[in-house]
Formats: sequence, C-alpha cells, structure tokens
Amino acid sequence: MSYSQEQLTAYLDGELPNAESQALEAELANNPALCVQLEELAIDRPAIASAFDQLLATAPPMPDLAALQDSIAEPAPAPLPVPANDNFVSLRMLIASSFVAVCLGVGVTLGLSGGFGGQKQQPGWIDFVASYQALYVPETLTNVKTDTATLEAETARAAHALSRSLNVAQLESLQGLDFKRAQVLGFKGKPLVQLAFLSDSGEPVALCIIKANGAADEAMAPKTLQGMEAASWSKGGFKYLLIGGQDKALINRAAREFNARM
Amino acid sequence: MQRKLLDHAAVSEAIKTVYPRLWRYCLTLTGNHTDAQDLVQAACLRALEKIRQFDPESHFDRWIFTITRRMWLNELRSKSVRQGTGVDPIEEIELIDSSAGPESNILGREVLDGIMALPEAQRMAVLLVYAEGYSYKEASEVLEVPIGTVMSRLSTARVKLASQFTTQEGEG
Repeated sequence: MSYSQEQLTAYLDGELPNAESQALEAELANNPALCVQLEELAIDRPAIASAFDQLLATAPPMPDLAALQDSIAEPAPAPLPVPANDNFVSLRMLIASSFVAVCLGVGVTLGLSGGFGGQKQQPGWIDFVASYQALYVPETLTNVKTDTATLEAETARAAHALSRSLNVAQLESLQGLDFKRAQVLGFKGKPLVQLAFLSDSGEPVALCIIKANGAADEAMAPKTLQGMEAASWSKGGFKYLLIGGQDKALINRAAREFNARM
Repeated sequence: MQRKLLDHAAVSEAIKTVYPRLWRYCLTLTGNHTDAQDLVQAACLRALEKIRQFDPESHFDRWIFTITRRMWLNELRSKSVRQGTGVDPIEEIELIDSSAGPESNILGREVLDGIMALPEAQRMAVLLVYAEGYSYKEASEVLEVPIGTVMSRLSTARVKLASQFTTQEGEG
C-alpha cells in the first residue's frame, strides 16, 4: 500500500487514527521505501519549538491595557467566573508530540511494550532506540557525507541538545567504528542524541545518549535487543546505549571505550 | 443558559498571559517587526472591544489568534503593502535566550530563517502545530480552513524544511 505525504505527515504528527497508524507501522517493517519517504519528511520538532520560543522574549512592552480600556466606551459587563487558565498544550498533545519526535523514521515501535529485562527505571527509551536501530541497513549510512565540518556542526548541535560536550575527534578515533552522523531525536520531551557509526564489517552501530534526570550511575551491561548486540550504562547524569550488528566483541570493546572517555 | 462574560480585570489578565505568544504569532504572521508591533497593539485593542463575543468556556488564546489573523488579512496587510513598511524584517530581530548560550541563538536563527522563508499559510501551520502544540483540528479552527488543508500545508512545509536542513548540513 502506498501513502500520501499528507498521510505520512499526519502519522508523524500523531494525527492518524490508531488503526491506520498500526497498519502503517506494520508496513514499515517490510518496506524500506516507506522509511525513506518518512525520512524525507523528518524535521527536528524540538529545535523548531525552541527556536520559536526564543521569539517570546523579543516581545516589546505590552500596550497599556487600562488606557486602552478607558478608550472603549462600552460599560463593563457584570463580573463573572474567570475561565480556567488557558493551558493550551494538553497532556495528550505533549505525549503525542514527544512520541512523534521519537517516531521520526521509526514507527515500528508502537507494538512493543517494555519487555527488556532491567530497563524498568526508564521504561521505553531503550526499546524505542532498539526498534529504530533495527531499521538501519548498511545503505542507511554508506552514502552519508562525512566531511569534518559537517560532523562538527552536527555534533555541536547534538551536544547543545544535551547541554554537554561531545568531542568529534574522540568519536572519529574509535577503532573499528567509522563515525558517520550525529542526530538529535527526542523521547518524551527529552532530547535523545544518536551518534551513528558504520563498523569495519559494514554494520550500522549507534551510540544513543539521553539525560538520566538524576538517576544513579549504572555499570555497563551487555544485552541482545531485537537480534542486535548492545550494551547500556549510566554515568555522570546520562544514560547510554550502544547498539547494532552482531559483533559482540566489538560492541563490548567500544562500549568500554565510550564509557571510559565520556 | 446565559452566556458568562469576563470583567475587565479578567480580560487584562488573559491578554497579559497570552501576550508573548501573541507577539510571536504576529511576528510569524507579518514576517516583520514593524507590522508585528502594529498588529499586536491592534489585536489587544480589538480583543478588549470584542470581549463580549468571547465564550469563557472556550480558549482565549485560540480566540485572540483568530481575530488577530482576520485583522491582518482584512485590514492591515494591504495597508502595510501600500505603505511599503516591513523595513525591519524578522531576520534582523536579535534572539535573546538568557537560559542558553550564543550557540543556541545561532541554531534558533537558522531554524527560524528556514521557517520564515515558507509562505505565510505554511509557516502559520508550523507555528500553531509545532510550537503552540495545537492539534490539526485546533489549528484548522484558528486558521479557518479544513483540517485537510492544515495537513497539506504541514506536509509541504516538512518537505521544504527537511531538504533545507540536509542542504545546510551538507554545506556545513
């Protein structure tokens, strides 16, 4: 089945009816072309919202409402209950938008519930990342341009999203992993950074970082997610997941290296 | 049932609460500082005048956004074009975000420039759905167009923004 750009946009914005969303997600798993179509519509919603938020502070002083009011002849109506403060962003929208942010190009994750052992402190994010990563094929990254300036700009953007530093030179110097791209995604309103690598054997591997919100450090734990090798740990206020491919030794070694460097 | 009304204090409070967002809305709508200033003033005045038409059970922000957009389309935009104002385009506005460093301002600038380069109808849809967090239905009510129109505006905007972003990254 093919989807119009409008339908895909509605899906990304969480506006597609449930049944249609589910059908689309089922289709996504077997239809790489659809993933590409979704990627072509992918925008950085948190960045857009935060850019717009910067305009709020540029407002000129508010007009003198009392003076304006006096200039209006109409008598005041009888005072009556004030409306509830207009909380324009409903909880539903918050949940939908954060979910949608994570779904940029993902989709398949909806059917999954947190089922991976030991992830209870942060239910969900590792599942989402694993599902996202499962869609990666070597072609996803082989043609990505990797000049230093681009990588630096992307990495700076990612670092800024997490309010921390990220060192491009370090990311580029890992043995067996070629640094290809840094992207800012989002999970439940929190920025989620994905650093994408291609292994020497051509397998896509990603290091994902999300703020830990005060959670305690956790030692590195190897795991298998969606048939991929992975390792997760928490350190210094951030949670990490390294995931991708079948090379357990590579993942464990790289995870130790990241853990030591970051 | 008799319609409830707001007293003056409540109206002032409601306007005050929504004012920074109203400013942003005017800026996005007009695309320039000068017209946005005129529009935000006029909109506050119009809201005071028309407050009897506002149903306190509904949403004040959506109501004032709707009347502001109508004013811009019906009264002020043509005047602005005739008088050739708009000498102070939105690109010139300095972004101040005290909570973040200059880096964030530069990033915000890039993103905003891309959005402001979109046609008015598209950037308004982007503002309402992606910054205000409105549903398609809510945005369609404020913009007074069918939901399908909101969807297609967002879809076109997404294609442009996504490709622009890729290009910028490529050039970086």
